[in-house]
Amino acid sequence: MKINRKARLLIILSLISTIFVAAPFAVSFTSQTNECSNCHTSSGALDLSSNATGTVQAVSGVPFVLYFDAAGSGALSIQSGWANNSQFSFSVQLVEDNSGDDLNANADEIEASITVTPLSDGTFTIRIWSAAAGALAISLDVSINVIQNTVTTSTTPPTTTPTGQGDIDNWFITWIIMFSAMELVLIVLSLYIWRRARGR
Amino acid sequence: MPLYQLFIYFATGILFVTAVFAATNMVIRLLLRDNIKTPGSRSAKIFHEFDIFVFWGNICGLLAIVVSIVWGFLFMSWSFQALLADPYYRAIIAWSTIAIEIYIFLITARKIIGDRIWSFTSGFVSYGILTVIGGFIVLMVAGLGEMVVHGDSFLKPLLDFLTMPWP
Repeated sequence: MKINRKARLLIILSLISTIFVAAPFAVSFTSQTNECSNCHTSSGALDLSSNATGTVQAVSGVPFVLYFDAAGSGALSIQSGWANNSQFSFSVQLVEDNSGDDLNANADEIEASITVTPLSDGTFTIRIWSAAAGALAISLDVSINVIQNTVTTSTTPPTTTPTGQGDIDNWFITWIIMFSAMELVLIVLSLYIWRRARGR
Repeated sequence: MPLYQLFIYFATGILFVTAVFAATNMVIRLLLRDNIKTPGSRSAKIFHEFDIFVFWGNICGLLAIVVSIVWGFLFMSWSFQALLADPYYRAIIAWSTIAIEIYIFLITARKIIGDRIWSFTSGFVSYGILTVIGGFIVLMVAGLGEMVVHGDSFLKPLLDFLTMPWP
């Protein structure tokens, strides 16, 4: 019986360790959406440039193309949580070296053309990161001035459009009600179950 | 920062499996009521091992959720107001707190009453169903998180059906 328990314990421990061993691979850079500087601390030999000169003029809802050249790079990433990236949609958000979206066949060099669609008007900054193995990463900010489209009457709003304080207040009230109601239900349930358990 | 994702993946995985085990135990309890009370029988062994897994799974899952929340706020790249401006983050915050409430109840009830909680209908039905609901909420929160990060999720049809994000 003891041997069985040991064997079982070993199997469980190995399964648990598999989770912990596998988890870091699941959060490797391909699915990483934090700014690269969170982990990569040096720009080193990397270089990142764009065809954008000065502030790019754009029209809300009308796509345009930005061209990026990253030397020494393993991946280019442009995620919605960075700078004002959530105000735009991108044709591609991650370009790995020598992947289908990499226009440069050389190793450790990426060229990519990314179609950018402004979702609302205003002056924004697009941030793109280039990262390589080790501590290397470099970012590039591109200023975009988006004016309202007078021809198109409607554009699909982004799912992450900031909402007003009124919405946040309503959410807060709803959340408090949800939290309190659940608390009440669980307390009543606890008392009921406790009484039934004592009766046994 | 990667620890945040690690704990989120861990919590989602273990709490979903826990919900499946709790549902299985409810079925065993309903179908083999007498059998599970027979010491040494196969169904009784499975039932009690599942019960222990559900209890410790809930504890590990709750701890992982709490650690990931604390870790996430410690290393957050933007302000809390910015988070609240996004309906997906608002839903994640609201439903995570509800899940925490449920798991605190489940762990406390199971700890105080012991495995006798499975011996009477109101006990095992509320314990089992709330474990399943907790697992479902955590899975839904994971889907909302995936929508925020990747803009798409394999749970999107379910979220659309539930008209999430809400509130």
